[in-house]
Amino acid sequence: MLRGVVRLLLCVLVILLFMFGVAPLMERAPFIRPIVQFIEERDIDAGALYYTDIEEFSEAAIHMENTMDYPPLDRPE
Amino acid sequence: MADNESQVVTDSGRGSISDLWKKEDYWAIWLGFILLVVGMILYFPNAPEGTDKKIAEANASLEAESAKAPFKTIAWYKAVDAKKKLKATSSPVGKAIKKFTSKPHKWSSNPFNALFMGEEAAKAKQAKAQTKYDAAKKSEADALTAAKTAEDSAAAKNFEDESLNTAAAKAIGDWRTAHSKTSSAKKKAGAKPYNQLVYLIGLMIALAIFFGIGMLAMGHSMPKFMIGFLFVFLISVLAFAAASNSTMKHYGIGYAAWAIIFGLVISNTIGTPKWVMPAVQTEYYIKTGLVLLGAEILFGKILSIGIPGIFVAWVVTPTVLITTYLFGQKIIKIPSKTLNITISSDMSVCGVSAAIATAAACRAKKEELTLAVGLSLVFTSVMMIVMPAFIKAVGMPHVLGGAWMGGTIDATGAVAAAGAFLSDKALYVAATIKMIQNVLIGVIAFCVAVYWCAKVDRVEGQRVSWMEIWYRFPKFVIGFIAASIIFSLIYQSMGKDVAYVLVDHGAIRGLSKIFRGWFFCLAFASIGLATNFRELKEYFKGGKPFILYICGQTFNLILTLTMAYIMFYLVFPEITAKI
Repeated sequence: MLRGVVRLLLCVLVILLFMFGVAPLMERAPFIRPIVQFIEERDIDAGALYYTDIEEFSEAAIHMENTMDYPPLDRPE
Repeated sequence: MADNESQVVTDSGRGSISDLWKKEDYWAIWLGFILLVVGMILYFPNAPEGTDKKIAEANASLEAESAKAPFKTIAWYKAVDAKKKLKATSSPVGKAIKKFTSKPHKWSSNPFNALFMGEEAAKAKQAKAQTKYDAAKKSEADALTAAKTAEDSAAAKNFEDESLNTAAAKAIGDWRTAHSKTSSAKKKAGAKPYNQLVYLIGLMIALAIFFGIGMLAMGHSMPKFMIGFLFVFLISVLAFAAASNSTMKHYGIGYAAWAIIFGLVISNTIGTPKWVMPAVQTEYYIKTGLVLLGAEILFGKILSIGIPGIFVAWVVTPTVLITTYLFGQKIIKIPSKTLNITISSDMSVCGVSAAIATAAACRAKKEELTLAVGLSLVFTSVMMIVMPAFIKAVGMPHVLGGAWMGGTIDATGAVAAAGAFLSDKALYVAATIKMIQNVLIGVIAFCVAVYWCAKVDRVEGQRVSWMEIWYRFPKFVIGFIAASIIFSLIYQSMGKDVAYVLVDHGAIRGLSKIFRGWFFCLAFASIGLATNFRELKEYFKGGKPFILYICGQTFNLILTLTMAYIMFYLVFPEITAKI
């Protein structure tokens, strides 16, 4: 039992290290930082499972449906 | 997942009427449909006041603007915005349900903020966000003024000057980008104090009774189930809280991964307590969640981006799925067919949600689903960062880039992040392609269930009769498909605009989606709590699942890009021009 508790505490420590140490540190990498800042700014849940879980999909769907139903006269560009 | 043989309707070789109340497949259907009916009763009579009039006005404006200019005008966007605001979830009943069933809140440094935020902390958060909101509002106002000036200039030349039209379209695009930023900033500036703990206790009791009734009918002890449920629910709350951490949200590490991790940690260190085991009912939770997910599979959505979208999502995806599966069987020789199809579906369709549906349909083992979820998580995080950077670096058109990302990045949330990072146009295309792919889950789960009953699970050389297939067929899939068909029909009969208000932002987002999330989380927590890490290692032997994923995803990337280019730029350039 004691061994189990020690193992549990070690696992919790690893999770905490990842959550508050490694993961935030990795975010500082120049190639990750821009997208991280963007996700934070737009408050996007990148872990969402299905299209109904995320507001951006609702916005995209209503935009595309109206684009198909009420398209502009010609090419915009 | 297939541990609970006695609880599965399949393989019995015969059926009886008592299956209707003794087997979990049927209980999943009954419970799922109870929630769906409640959702319809609560939301369908609760459309915001004047919905029909507002929709008619918006559509009249859209029609006029559509006939006026060769680009989407400011009025066009404002009319869409007016329709977007109409949601049945904004009704008092919608707000009450949201409050009662809410998952732990977003937090960054203080984990307690997942459940509790006092008046002062909320005010401090508001004040901090208000400055950004004010700045965003100003930027949006400036962008709108510039867009109006550009549109007026184009209108003065009767929209016949190409360069003025292009300038106006660009200025309007900039305004929309500023508008999106303001919307996000507004949400943050509206921070309010909360104490989720009380509601979570209430929700836990309600869910324990909800599932406990079924357990009782199936011959289990309801009190024992309810006591164990307390622990499984607690793990689920912890998983949601971990997934709500801002850093984890950036990487797309969602509740499914955390629920498995927390469960695994407990079961492989101190061991899952015996009194918890009666509530470790992976299949029961997952099947009920899948019946609810069925209602979110709306077939009307597949035409959202016209025919090119169908080709990219509905031709490429099954092709990649079948090819990867055959590659896994014939070339890599994956020992388990269920592992092979779960990974193939997870990789080619839409990550975790597709893996859940496929694994349940073919009765994959819980370790196999865990492995598929883990692989998806790692690759999604990488692709979400690398793909938009690559598309930007090579100067790929954003419609093509959006279609490519939407068709290949597994996780739905990551598609939104990567698409929006590129541009609004890329987001619209990426999200729509992914949404059409999401709808494919229903068809794939059904086909996998039939194929497994008729082909895979039979003895070599044996001919399986239709009755035998029916006996073996996982019955919850019928509920899953029925929910999809019923909601698709309701959606079509209401018309897109009203359905957006009452179905999309009513019965689905206001109820079924919320409970589906809870049920999947309970299922993943149960998987973790019942999994031995050593057994999990066995499935990864030789790195075959990894090789399968890499090869399948490479093929997916090539085929999706090729098909998207052909469809959006060679066959249907006029549709691309509209976007």
